[in-house]
Amino acid sequence: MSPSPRISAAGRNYFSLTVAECAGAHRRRADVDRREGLTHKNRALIWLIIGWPPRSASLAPSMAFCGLGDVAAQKREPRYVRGMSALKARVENGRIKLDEPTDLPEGQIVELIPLDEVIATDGDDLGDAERAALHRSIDESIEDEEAGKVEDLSKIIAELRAQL
Amino acid sequence: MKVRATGRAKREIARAALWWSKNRPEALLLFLDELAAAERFLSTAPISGQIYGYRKNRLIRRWLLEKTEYHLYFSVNREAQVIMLHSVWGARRGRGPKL
Repeated sequence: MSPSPRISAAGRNYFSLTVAECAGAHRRRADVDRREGLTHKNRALIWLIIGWPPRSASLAPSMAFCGLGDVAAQKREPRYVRGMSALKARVENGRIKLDEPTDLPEGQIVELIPLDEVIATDGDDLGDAERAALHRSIDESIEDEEAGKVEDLSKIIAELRAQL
Repeated sequence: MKVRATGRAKREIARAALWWSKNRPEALLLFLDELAAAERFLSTAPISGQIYGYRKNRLIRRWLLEKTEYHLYFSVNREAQVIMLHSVWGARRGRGPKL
């Protein structure tokens, strides 16, 4: 397993590794692969995303998340994988030490990308204005949640089905 | 886990469902069907969504409705055993709701 050279261990003395498929990372990887003449058919894609420490201690349990990539990068959107396979590693003397059992095949290439990098640069494919609108929507939604303005989704769906 | 939606998300859902029913009469319930399927799946595997980022100290994830091409943006509250749907947003540029 050879981690990406982009990873910096500075300030991270313990973290959770998660196997994930990420749209932004896929796009970035796909661009590199095109330049390198590779195709995703001959390259299994596994993404490890590092996300520790989280920005809030209360968020720590939520950080574990994974997906196992396939050739979905050929498509505009990734497929999200239905499974969890979080791995844990430590940084010791500036080296990432990962000692976890895995079912991944021998020789499988695993790339590591800091979660913050993915979120900051490739969290979506929206334009700036639309992203700002989405963020406003989510912020307003959180305010709704804090004000108790919430309903069961199944009830909302049932109501709309009856109306349409 | 229980899946709930905020008032804002409810308006976005209603708008998307209405658009779909008016503009795709051959599949007028497709959006709601996909939404219902996503609800069933996420209620059993809440952290399967792709991490999107943080808003107001919440970790926001998203889930793609592949046929109708909307993203569900949600957060997971493990203590309350609730998945909170915050927004339903077009996955393509220019397809976000105008509320």
